[in-house]
Amino acid sequence: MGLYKLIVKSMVFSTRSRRRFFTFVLVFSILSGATIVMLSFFDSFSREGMLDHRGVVVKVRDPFSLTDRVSLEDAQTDLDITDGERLPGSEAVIFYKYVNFGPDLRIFSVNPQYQWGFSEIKPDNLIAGHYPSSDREVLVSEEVLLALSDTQDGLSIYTKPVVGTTLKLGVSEDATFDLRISGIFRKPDPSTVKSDDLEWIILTEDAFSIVVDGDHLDYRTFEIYIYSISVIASGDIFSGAAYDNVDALASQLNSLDSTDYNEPIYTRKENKDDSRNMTFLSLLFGIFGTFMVSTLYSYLITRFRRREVAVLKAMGYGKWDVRIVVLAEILVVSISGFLIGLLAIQLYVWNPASRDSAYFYLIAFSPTAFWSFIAVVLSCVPGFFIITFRTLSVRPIEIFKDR
Amino acid sequence: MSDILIEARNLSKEYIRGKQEVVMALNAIDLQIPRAKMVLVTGPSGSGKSTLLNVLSGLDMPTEGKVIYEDENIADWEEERLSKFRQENVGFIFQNWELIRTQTALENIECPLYPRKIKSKEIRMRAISLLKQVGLWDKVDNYPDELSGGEQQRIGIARALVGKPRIIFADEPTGNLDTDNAASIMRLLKSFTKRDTSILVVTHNEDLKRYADASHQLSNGRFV
Repeated sequence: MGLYKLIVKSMVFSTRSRRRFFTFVLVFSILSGATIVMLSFFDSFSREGMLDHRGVVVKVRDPFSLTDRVSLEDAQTDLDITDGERLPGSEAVIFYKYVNFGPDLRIFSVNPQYQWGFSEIKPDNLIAGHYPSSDREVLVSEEVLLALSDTQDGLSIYTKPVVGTTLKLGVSEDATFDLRISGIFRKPDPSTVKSDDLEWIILTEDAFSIVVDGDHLDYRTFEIYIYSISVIASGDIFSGAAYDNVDALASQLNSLDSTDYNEPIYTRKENKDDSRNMTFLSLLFGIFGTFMVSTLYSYLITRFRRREVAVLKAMGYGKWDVRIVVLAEILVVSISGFLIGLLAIQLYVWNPASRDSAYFYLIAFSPTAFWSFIAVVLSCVPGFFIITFRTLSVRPIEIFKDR
Repeated sequence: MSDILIEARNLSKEYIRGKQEVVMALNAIDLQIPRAKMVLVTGPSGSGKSTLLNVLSGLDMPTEGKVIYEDENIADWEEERLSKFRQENVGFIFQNWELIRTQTALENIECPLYPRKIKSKEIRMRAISLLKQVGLWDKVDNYPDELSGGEQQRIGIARALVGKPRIIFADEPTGNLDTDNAASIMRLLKSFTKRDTSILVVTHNEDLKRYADASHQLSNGRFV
């Protein structure tokens, strides 16, 4: 009761010192904006760039010539590697398989642990939702049309897929496999990636097995093909061990003679080091820069309110009561600053001149915003305790005497 | 129940001034503050008045001697216990009012009660009642910067009383006021002794003795 009242009142009073409030909100909004940008840079590195940094991709020479048929159990290739095996220096070997379901639909399988390993559907291809993570989820391309009903004159009514709705997959109404649409993605641009005219849907490997091997699709009719193979290197990026393994794996795969597969696609170590250094630097600036500014703010605010703290303690406020009063102001200022920083980025997105910057649009509602919030707002708390431990622990008389 | 609320026994306080100079701010002081009485301590600047008030209220620690409150020596207490003691038993009136600039008159009066487990409605009623008693109901939403010195001191008095303290410590409560305002403030303070509140006033103004039930003169840290 007393604590709740104290927090609410302290938050209200913290906005009353207008000049101080607006000055620090401005500082925090700039800080938040910079942190969001820097962390999003790192976030982009860790998600979109993951395959480039840790993977070697091998594609079939012509993914639409249907040459390399495989079975679910024995996905052997003329590269002499098998699905799921461990090559020296690798963490995983993943086959991205597909079946063509009639002339319009292509169904892919992805490994839920390495969703980003499917080179054609990177995270920035996602328009809404997320990758399928269970055998009851499906990712669909935005062009997929779902038939609702047929009219008497032969026309059909269609609906576009919506995240969270159910997709019933099967050759008859009696034997459908119900999947929740977990996300919607944009197919790769045909000008940059060899694409096709089919609609794509992506299932987890387990769901894929159920669909093609059960009553839903006739496995004998709908043959399984390999679209690409991703070999994920072991080791961490920070030390560069993963980069060494990528180079070694690429060299190993290159030496294998294959008629069905192209040469491995990968980025050489020396070309990745600079981007890695920049992204880790941005992370350091994002986190530690924010921590330093937040700590400095805690120091300043405690100095500004030192006299008031002495009066409150003389009136009987305990050590924690006073901490709550000061901390409430710090949190109100930092949260306000964060929201304004985020809003500023949104306004930048809405600017027609920068409308193409989908990158920024994505980060405002992405985990980056969440982590930026953690960095900006919560980093104030340890800074506050470091700075105020001594200041707020002194007897009020010592503060009065300092005058 | 003893008639004495708080008592100083053989109280001394030394300060180190500069590098090595020892200043005896209080020298073996004995003082009793009875319940529901106003006690005045007068003396020139530097005589130790404020030090006495600070030590008796638990804001400062004595070098020697005891401050007895209900058979306990508060000089032995930890800071958190002293905070609790001040919160529940003590009201402060500061020479420079020390109102919080970001709070209205009403909020300044309510302020000492915010951490306490008292309902908001009860806090608001107490504050409004005191605001009326000090004659500033029309200034309810004014901030300290919008009030005169006399008005600020009245708000300071209301704030000291809102927690229903057993004793009020007033440091030069009329120090910055003209004669009429000073008399008004002292009459107001005196009126609260009828509610079983004790009051210790320290001041350099000898004229205020007429409002007190007992008075003592301090010089160089000793009563004369």
